[in-house]
Amino acid sequence: MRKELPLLLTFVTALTVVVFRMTQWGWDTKFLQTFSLAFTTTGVAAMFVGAINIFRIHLGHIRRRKEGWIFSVVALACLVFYTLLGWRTTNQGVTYKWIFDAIWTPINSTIFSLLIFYVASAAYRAFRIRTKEATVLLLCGITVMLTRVALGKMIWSEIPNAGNWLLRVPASAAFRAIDLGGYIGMFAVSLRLLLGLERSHLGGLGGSMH
Amino acid sequence: MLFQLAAAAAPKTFWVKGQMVPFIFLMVVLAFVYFFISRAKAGMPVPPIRKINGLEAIDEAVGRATEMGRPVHTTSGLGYVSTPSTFAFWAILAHVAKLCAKYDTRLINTNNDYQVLTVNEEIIKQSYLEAGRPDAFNADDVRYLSGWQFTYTAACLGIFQREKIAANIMIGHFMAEAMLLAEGAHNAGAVQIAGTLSTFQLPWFITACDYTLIGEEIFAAGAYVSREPVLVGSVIGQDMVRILVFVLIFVGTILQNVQAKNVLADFLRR
Repeated sequence: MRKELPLLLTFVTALTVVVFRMTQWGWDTKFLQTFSLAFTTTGVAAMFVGAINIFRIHLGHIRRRKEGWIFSVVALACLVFYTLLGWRTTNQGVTYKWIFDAIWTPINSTIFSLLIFYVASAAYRAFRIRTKEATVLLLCGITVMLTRVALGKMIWSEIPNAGNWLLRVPASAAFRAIDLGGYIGMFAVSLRLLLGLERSHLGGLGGSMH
Repeated sequence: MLFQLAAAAAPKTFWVKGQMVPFIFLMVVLAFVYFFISRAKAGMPVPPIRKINGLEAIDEAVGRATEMGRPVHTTSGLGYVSTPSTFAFWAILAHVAKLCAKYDTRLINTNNDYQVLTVNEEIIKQSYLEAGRPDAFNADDVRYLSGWQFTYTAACLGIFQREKIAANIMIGHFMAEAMLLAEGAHNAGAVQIAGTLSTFQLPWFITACDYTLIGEEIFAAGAYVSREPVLVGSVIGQDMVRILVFVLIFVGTILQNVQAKNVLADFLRR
């Protein structure tokens, strides 16, 4: 019953959404709007699960005096303080907004900007010519990079055309093929869910395997 | 004016515009999947699933972590419970969790979404139970880090360095954090298996990871690791649909070039 009930619920819900979404009747009855609202409400309620998980893990660190436990204290203090502040002043409060704009946003941007260094180190590894494929990758990479800067046109006027052709024809064809395969895969997963064949979300590959 | 009145009075069709053909397509896929599942269940020959190196490497990655005495990290990235690639991740997570339970290797699962967290926790717990090691399950290793993309990334990078992970398995929906996570795990000395549907992130994974599952390969994971006839049959059915789509594209391209009005395209828009 522990597995059959979720499977039955999944089947009924999925079938209902398919029928309601594809027919005029579904839109007339406004069922989909109500369904979407119910989905959002459930999602918001589940937020507490995340908060409980954070508290449980960090309180455990503090209790066991695990290395770096002081950072757990800071994390929990920030979480509690910011939640209470938002509760009291709403997200339009001056202090609330200042903390978000002057502390959180720059830190967030800093992490994002680290990306360029990681890209450089990964590109260095990938572009080391060891195989024929790596050589092709290197040549294509250099051509596309030169397409994006004025230096490329100065070296040879046809480089921008070559780079754009690489992006427009071979790269685009490969991307579309991958996307198409992905969409069919998504479709098949949805169908497996509808039919109750996909049971990975119930734990342990559904229990009927291995 | 008369035409406008006639149009307003016209009865509505049963199908929402553009939904009739998808429904027919749904039925065709269903027929293919049902046919191959029936064959597989009856023990009749079905085409085998080709070797997927990324999925073969999972056992090797967990084995490496076991030998080194260091943890395995898994994540589904920024996917939600309703993201199809998250379902692909769950099939792999169940397999990885069973292997970790069997070899007594620590498994760390980090999450960006609290709904995914609850499902992941249940899957890992169930896998440990099925492997006969419920005592080895540690709820503190299934972690919700943050709902913000780069806050989650920064927390992950910290975990990679502090815990010295030996294997990193990333299957699911990834965006700009893909490269940060892949390089961060590489710097921690982890062997990496990654897979996503995003064509923007695939090049980064191919560049930075040891094995990459490209596009729909991630959806074959459940069937591939379990070899369950029902799942194998459904994957083969899905591949047959791909051939059908290829034929439609081919015929559509010819019709587009030889006809003033492409009847196939008109039909598919209905």
